[in-house]
Amino acid sequence: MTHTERTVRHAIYAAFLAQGLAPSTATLATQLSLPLADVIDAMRGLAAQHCLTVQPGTDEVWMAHPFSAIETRCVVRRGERQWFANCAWDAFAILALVGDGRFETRSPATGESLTFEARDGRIHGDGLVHFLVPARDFWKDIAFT
Amino acid sequence: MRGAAVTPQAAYALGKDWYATRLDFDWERPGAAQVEAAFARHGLTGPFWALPTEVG
Repeated sequence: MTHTERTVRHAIYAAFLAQGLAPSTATLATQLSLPLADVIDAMRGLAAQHCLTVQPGTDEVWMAHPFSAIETRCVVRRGERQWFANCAWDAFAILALVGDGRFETRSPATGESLTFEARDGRIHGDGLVHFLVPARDFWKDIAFT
Repeated sequence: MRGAAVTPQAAYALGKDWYATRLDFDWERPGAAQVEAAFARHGLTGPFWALPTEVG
């Protein structure tokens, strides 16, 4: 990973953590005082190394695990703030990163509304996280995973 | 059932472990052995969790 890739990656994660949103490449260029072309190169490098995923046909962040830049059905809330997760596992990981809060989703099987709460290091709520794709294939189609 | 089922508590604990350094400037993508070790620390072992190649 180059220094610029590290700088861009770090800024993306900081924004996700603080705001629940990914900065655009243009915002990153301004914020980091970097040429836009350098930011785009860094995004492509990070995507090639599976350090993040870009939205199809663009150089904009889609997934910087466990965060999602686009709305999903896995929402984590803490106070007034919210984050979108790529999947249930990522939602629990966001709770692990941001502290006590709630994970709201719907059962993929039944459509039933599900809520889990992280409190004092424990998860409260009933359900299971189902991994369909074996670990060796996670990145074959990360969006499906 | 295809795949594997993990309890919310185990997913949370794995997330805490897996992402512990992800926000660090100097974070490095873990190698296959490190990922397998993290899975194993949370009881996720066996062919489903095995990694013949690197993943993130």
